[in-house]
Amino acid sequence: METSVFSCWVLFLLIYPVVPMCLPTEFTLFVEKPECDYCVAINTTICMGVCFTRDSNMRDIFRSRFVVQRSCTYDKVEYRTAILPGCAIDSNPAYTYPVAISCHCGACRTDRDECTLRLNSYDANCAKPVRRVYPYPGQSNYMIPF
Amino acid sequence: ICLFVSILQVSAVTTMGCLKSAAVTLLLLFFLLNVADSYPNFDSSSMSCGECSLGLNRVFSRDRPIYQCMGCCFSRAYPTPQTAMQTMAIPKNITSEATCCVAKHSYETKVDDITVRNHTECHCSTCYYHKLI
Repeated sequence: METSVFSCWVLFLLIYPVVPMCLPTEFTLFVEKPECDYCVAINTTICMGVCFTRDSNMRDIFRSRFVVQRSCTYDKVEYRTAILPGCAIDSNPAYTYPVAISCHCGACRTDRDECTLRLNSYDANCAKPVRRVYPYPGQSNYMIPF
Repeated sequence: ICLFVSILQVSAVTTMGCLKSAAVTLLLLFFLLNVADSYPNFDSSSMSCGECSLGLNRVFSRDRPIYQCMGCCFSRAYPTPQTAMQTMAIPKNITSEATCCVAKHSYETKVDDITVRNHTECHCSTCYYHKLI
């Protein structure tokens, strides 16, 4: 039994360096609409981690040709909808947000993503009272009532 | 390598009760990939990550070493905040933030009449070529 446990640890140490570092990560999204009374906290997953990049010794001449620049971004995305509470009757209380199913190190797709140049802190400050939305277990891409 | 192979063989024999032969083969493959990752020119962008630092450029290092910055830097992608979405000309649902390993300091030098920049210090900073347009 002890030999098997030791063997498993040795195998784990051999595998560990090749474990990918860009992974789906739990994240709390704060949504505040002017026509709604609450700031809603929604649990979702985003892509976060580290990716290999490399600069070029001839960037002045060849620019991006020998440069490796990748970012941790969404691979497979699922969109879910939450109904925000306390919204005006004539307003649209639905809020659709992306959920990361898988992530990868790749180029930033300008057709889908806003590719910013620098890291910014996510502004989660709510001016209104915060309420949480909890999805039903196993629910996927459905309307999530509060 | 022989020592690691022997350790792996012993481990394979002793864990045969809980691992099938196909899984053992897969583990051997991961080990070989790990060995290959130890070579500096191996592009392991989706696998293991080392710190952003100076690495030897074997192509340009002839009579003297030429270094280039390489390594892993932090990046993330998340749903675009509502306040930011309202200011966008073309609203995007996802915001991607990235930093890339680039030279902080470098100097110009010649290698076989080719002008190159020898990197002397690296850091994770602004990415300029990570967009897919």
